[in-house]
Amino acid sequence: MADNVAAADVELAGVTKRFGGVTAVDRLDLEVRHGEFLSLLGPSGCGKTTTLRLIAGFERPDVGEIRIEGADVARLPAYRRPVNTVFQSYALFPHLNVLENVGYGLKQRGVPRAERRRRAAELLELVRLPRAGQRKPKELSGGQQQRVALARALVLSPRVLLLDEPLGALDLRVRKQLQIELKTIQRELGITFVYVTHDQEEALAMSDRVAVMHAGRIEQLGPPQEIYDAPATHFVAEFIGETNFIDMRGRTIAVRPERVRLTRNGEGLAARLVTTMVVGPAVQAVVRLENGQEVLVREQRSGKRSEVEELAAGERVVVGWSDEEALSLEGGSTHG
Amino acid sequence: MDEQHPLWERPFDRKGFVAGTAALIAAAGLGRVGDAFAAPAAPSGQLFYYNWADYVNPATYKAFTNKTGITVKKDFYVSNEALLAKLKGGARGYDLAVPTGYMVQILAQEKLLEPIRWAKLPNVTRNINSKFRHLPFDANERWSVAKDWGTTGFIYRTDKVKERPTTWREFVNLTKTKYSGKVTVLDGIPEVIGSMLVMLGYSYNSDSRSELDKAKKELLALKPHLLAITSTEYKQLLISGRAVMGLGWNGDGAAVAAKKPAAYVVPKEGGEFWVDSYVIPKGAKNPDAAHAWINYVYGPKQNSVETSYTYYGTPLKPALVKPHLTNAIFTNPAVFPPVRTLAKLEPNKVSPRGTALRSRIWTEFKNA
Amino acid sequence: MVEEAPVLTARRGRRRTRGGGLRYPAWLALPALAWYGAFFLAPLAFICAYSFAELTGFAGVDFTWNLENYRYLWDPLYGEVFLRTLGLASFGTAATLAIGFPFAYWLARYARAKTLLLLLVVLPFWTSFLIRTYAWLIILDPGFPLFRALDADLLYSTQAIYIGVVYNYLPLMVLPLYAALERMDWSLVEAAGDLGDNAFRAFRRVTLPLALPGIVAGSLLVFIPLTGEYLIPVILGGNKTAYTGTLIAQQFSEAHDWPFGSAIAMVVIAGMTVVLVAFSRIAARGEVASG
Repeated sequence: MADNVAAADVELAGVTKRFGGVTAVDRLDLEVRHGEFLSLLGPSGCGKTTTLRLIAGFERPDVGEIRIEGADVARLPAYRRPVNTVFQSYALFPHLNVLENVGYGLKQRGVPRAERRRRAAELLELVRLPRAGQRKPKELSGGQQQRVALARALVLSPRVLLLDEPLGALDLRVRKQLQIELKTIQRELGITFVYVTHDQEEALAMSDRVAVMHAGRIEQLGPPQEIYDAPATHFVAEFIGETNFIDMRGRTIAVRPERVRLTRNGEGLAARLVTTMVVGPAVQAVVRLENGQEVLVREQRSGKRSEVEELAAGERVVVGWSDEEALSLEGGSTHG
Repeated sequence: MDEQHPLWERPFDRKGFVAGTAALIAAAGLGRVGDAFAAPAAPSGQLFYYNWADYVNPATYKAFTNKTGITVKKDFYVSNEALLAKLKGGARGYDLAVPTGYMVQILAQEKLLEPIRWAKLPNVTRNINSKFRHLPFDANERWSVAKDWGTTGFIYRTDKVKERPTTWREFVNLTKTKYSGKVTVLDGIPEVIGSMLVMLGYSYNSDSRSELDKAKKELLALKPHLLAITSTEYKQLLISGRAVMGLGWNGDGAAVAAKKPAAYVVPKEGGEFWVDSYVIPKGAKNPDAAHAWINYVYGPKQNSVETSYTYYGTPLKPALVKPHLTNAIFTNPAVFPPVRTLAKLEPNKVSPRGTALRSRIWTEFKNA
Repeated sequence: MVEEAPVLTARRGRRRTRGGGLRYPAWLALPALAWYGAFFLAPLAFICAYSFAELTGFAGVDFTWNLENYRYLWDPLYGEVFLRTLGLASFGTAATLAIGFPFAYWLARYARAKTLLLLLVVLPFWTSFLIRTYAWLIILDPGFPLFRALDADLLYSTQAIYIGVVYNYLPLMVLPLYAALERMDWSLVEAAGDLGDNAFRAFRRVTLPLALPGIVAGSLLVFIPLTGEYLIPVILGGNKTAYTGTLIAQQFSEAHDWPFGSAIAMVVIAGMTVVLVAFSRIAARGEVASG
């Protein structure tokens, strides 16, 4: 294991999973490196949760290989895989108290009771719930329950932790707080995280790498900046952030609203201003090109009123962008 | 299966299927509180008749209503004890009931009966067989008028039991040997224990601990060879051939014989002789209607309609009913046993002490 | 720590609700209480009183307030009846649980057309218990194809009683088991597997404790009526064997000994109470069972 650090912790090769007539995961290849925080990001039904469940062992692939730490586990049941899972619904055992929930995996391994309690208490300390040990899960708030679920999954010191939309059911304030804590814990413990989410902000903020999934396949895999700045496909560009798709002489150009410059008489395409609005620290404008297409423009507001804010609806304007700021897409979204 | 009758075709009788079914329902705690508690004020000319199930020819109700204008409301009890419990519990409004002799005595002692007015029963005084007057349970004829009578003996299939048993001893011996597993006895404590006592030469109503002990030994030896202990199923079992002999009542014997080759035997050692009698329960709303009914069914023709239906003996003078009955019924010794057979029979008059002893023996019998 | 505070408020909040807020007026329970009082407690009191009375004459009762009936009951003869009944009730409970649990589990977790299947489970209730039991006389007849093929004659045997018991009581076991398993969050079983439990261990440590209320409810629904079961031994067993139900019926109907019958009934009720307490202890222990 130690001499294999560079190798992938989790490796999926040509994995396909069908449910009835629906292909949930389609010839998927993926390598998760040791110690990284990798998010599987995509809209619902894209196959991200199924991919996670395939790694966990709750589903078996129809075709393909799944390796964890180099060993083929595709046919192994969940209980024989060296990974642990944090469930979206927390899945805490309602008949056990918090301490017993956290110590659950240790009991099965024959760890003596006192040691179990000590380890469980340690983990509760780590997730900042040191005094909740004797409570039942239903007595805790959602965020607290998710902390317990995290502690329970971490108690076995898994090499890889799988998280299935762990913050999906929490309100925004708690979610933000836990995002930071999760990231901190992941760094401190040096554990590999495979993190399923449909929240792009969350994925981009927390991940070392993001795999954007669509229709059972990975559209693009890379660091968050790369995903945002250089979306590889139309789908990614559309799914991540906001993008103007502009047809120019049979060619589609994709450009982020904040990369479009809006002037009264600079270089670029002639347009008319439709409307402007101030959105907190930014000002947004919608302009209509001569061919009728609308383009969204966003500018950060500096101290004084910007030029954009001065413009009146119906005024003639010019929009432009540098070629390197336009996104180059590899065609459609049907292949990754 | 060819000899099986579907459940819905099973013959019913006084102590038969319908009554048994009701008993089971009542015992299962499903029995409803009797109509008697909620009996509306009887319109003039209604008779509320509390009876064993299927103990009256349905044709008789119609004929009676046509004749008298009195309508009949019916309710049924499942055992003498159920009747006692109901009346003791305070149920009122019944005009007529038909307990067995020993229960007439108990009901009278418990002051649960209204007196019979013989002046209103000309048919009875004219037509009754004098043997059925001044019966021991009501020597002064103050409370009761005989309805039907019968005996407890055994039934066997003549096509399957070639030995032609005529005694209780033969019945027991054949049960323990050749017909083991094919014999039933009634689910009735006095009938079964009494029959064993009679076989041993003792009284049907014996109170003697040692005599009862001997009867118990006979029963315990018999138990492993029995198919079932039932008062409700045995007729059907005999008809289907699952059982070839059964300790039972004469009416059932006649009913079996009507369908399959079978004989009813009053064993030579003796047995039980019972009389069910009309009584008027305490608090009757329309005792006149009750008297009208009794008087009506004591007409020879009307009474023969009943006998042809129930197969139980009539308390009327035989010569009066003979013209109205088919020969098959009139000469059937199960319905009209010969007089010398009757001489050996005893009515049930087991004492309270004897009842207690029998009850414990019965539990031992069922535990065996 | 943003999240510590809610624990305390949540608890305080609950206590507040319990103390006042959502309370239903007591009179809502009145009809039920009146009903139980009139038709359960009052008869029970009568039975209790009768059990200390004495039979006089044929059917008379003298309230002498002594323990004679109970002393009379203290007899190996009746002990045998109680043990036999206990055996029947235990067998019925164990057998319906063994047969009903896998079915309820499948129904709750995997089956399609659950409503239809549940309907089939309760379908027998559309006919009376009595008719259904009588119908078994036809099935158990040695002439019936199945038993003819097996060359078995079970009619009026102990086996027939046991078959009838399992048949009649199975729905009473399946329904509470289904209700408990239906509420089950199956991701808990996945979580157990994820934490290293194989299917068997996950079942024992998670499914079973969570299904325990259903198991207890089902067991009580089967066990308690079986201690007084009357119809099945009478109809399918040919009434050849005494059980407490038939023994009590015998006292009331044949021997007209209400006091003694009441004493037997009181002993059965006391026995049931013990079982009830024991079961609820089990259920309570299940609640706090450690994983």
